Amino acid sequence: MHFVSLTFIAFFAVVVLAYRRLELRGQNRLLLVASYVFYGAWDWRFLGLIVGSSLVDYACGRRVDQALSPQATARQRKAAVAVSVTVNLGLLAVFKYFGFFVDSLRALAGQIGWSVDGPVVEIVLPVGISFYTFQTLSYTIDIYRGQVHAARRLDDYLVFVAFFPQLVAGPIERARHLLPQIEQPRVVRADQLSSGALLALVGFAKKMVVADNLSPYVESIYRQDSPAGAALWLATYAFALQIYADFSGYTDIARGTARMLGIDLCRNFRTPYFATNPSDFWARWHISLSSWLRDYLYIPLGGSRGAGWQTARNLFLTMLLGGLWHGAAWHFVWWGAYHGVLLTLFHRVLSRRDARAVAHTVRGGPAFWLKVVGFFQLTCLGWLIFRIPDASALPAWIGTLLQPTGWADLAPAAVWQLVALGVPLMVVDWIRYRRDDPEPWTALPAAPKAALIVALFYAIVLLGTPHAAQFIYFQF
Amino acid sequence: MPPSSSTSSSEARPWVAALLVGLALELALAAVGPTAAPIDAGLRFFGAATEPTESETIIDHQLRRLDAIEVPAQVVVLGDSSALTAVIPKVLSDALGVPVENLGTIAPLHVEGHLAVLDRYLSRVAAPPRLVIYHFSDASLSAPLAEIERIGSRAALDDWLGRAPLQQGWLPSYHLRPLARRLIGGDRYPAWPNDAGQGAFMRRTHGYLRETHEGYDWAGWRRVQVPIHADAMPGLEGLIARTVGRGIPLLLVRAPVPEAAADAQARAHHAANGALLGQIAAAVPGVRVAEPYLRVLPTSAFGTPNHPLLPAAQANSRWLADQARPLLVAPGVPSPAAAP
Repeated sequence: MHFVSLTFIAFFAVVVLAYRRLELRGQNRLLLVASYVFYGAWDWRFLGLIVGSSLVDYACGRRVDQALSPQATARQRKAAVAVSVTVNLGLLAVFKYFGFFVDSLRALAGQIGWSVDGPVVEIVLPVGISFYTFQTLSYTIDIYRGQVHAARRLDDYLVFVAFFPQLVAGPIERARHLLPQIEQPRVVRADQLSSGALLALVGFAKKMVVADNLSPYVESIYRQDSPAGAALWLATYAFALQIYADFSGYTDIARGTARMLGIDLCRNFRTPYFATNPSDFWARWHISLSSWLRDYLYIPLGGSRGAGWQTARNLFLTMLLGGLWHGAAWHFVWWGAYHGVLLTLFHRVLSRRDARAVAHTVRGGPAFWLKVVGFFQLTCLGWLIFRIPDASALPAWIGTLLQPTGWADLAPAAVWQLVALGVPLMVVDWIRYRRDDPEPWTALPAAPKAALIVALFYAIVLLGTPHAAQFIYFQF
Repeated sequence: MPPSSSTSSSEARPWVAALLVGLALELALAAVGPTAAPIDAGLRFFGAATEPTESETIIDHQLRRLDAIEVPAQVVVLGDSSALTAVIPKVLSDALGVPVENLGTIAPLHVEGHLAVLDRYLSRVAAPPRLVIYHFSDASLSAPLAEIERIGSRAALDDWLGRAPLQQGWLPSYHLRPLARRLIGGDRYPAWPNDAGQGAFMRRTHGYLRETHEGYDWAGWRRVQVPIHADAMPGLEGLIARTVGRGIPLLLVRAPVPEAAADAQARAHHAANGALLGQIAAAVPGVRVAEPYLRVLPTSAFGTPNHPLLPAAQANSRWLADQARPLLVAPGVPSPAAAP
């Protein structure tokens, strides 16, 4: 079920109306049924996977939790964590990466003269599998670390895994944040309903007005075999805005609808394009993933505790796997590697100098803007790697970017569209950045807030695309 | 214990105010009435999840341009790529003093496809045109439908039209979409950087849209069919019904034969085609046939088969204005009963 559809709006309205009449247990059962209906609407076959995975993790979590299984030895607890990790990574390996590894091995074998023939296995990628497997992985690991208790009730745990607003594209929630909210009675206050609805409206506008209107131009350039450099620059800037509006728009809808159900989801974005360096960027972009990678990959690898080269290695490996998390394709691996290199260089070469500079950088001052604009170019180079349809064309495309031609051929309408859609998005982000407030509109008096609601609604009606494209992150 | 959901009038106030403002706006717009038919600005073939074929790309590009037309034209030019490239609306418009739109399609659509394009246009605009010019090369009437369908453009057209039903928005404000979308660049050329960019892309990737006739499958082009294939008759009848049947004169114009293909067989085919069209014009009042402004289009005057270069297109458009003027001044179209 697509968020941007009348079906979802009707579905959500029914859920909210029924939800407000129920007690905790009834609410959770309703959320569970609604979540499975929502997920099963994509493909009912996926339901078996998510239910099976949830049951395994629920059982493992209870085994690992000392309070629930006092008789279990340390070895048995470790074994239960290992089962959970193996099952979750196994699901990802089979459903997401199997075809990629087989194809890569075949290509490698072909390059050294071996011909490897065999049946081609097409495996359907279940929607949201990367998100919910990471969420359940963190659950058992956190129990093992003693940071959270295991869910007392199966239905609560099933809701924790399948909670429909964040099921298919995050944010990747931690048990210590989401599970207690599911287990405790919830009171939906009027301010939660109002601010949640407004946040969701902002999300719909970002998706339907900004992201989906930028998508055709990006698509038209990136589908070419060898686009002109100037058009590629423009399309890459457009893609930077598109993917931000698309993914953060999804997150806003997820957080807004969850809030209308009395549940707070974590922030996933903090005005990422005002980042001044790679470290800053990853503290602002897809925060629930970057913090997951930090806690469950980077720190266990040694983090920054060892020698300089070890920190660099850990950073690089973490980002490489972070890239691979996005999809089973080489350009995602190169994208992860690129950010790994940026982070490594930043930490090795620039961090001390930058730490001094940050202390003297005025938000909005010339040095700040220089860093923001400069780092945005590097971010965009990353987006080119992320978006390129064929990784083997990467050197040629980067060469095209570095020696751009065809400025005279740039369509004025495309340039104007980028300005008309991008500037308002960035101005709002600038206000949020300056105030360090993710939702500055909540403090508005009634009249300006009403005007904002009207403006957002008419932006969607008059400028939105009626047939919304799929959210980009749904493919991951 | 049921949750004690609190309601606060201060939280509800902005939403109620927004609802009232929206309601007032919609009522006001409904009272004023729509200024134009609503536009469907959907981007069917360029979503992130789709990979359009070349035919889909061309169809999408051209039909979204059609949907973006806001001022109803008084003269509508319809047809294949010979219409698109050989008729310059501005030249016609300047000569006739009325708005002119060229709905020619570069994709081979057969006459039935051109009729579908006309239907789409008529269903969108507030006022029908005073004259329809059907400008076509012989192939649009003489090729079997199966051959056109093999190319894929017809399927792309049907798919586009099927996926893009006219969005009759239930909000009166929906009619303001064309105006509002201008603020973000409009819908006219969102898919390609510009026409020059499209040409460069086509040349680079497909090797065509060259400046000369070299490299063409002239033997294939010359493949002679009947002057008017039976498959074209339903489309022609529909075209006449849609135009003459509604009191709109229909001017049939054939493109000249390209010099590179103008052997005896092609000339005979062209002449037979003209004779048959003449018979139709004689039988149906309101239908006129104009002979091509040149019988043979010199190689030096065209870029690709049936696609004249700019000077030839200007000459053709001026000539076409002379043919169209009498029909605009004194249409002399019979009642719909006279239509087939």
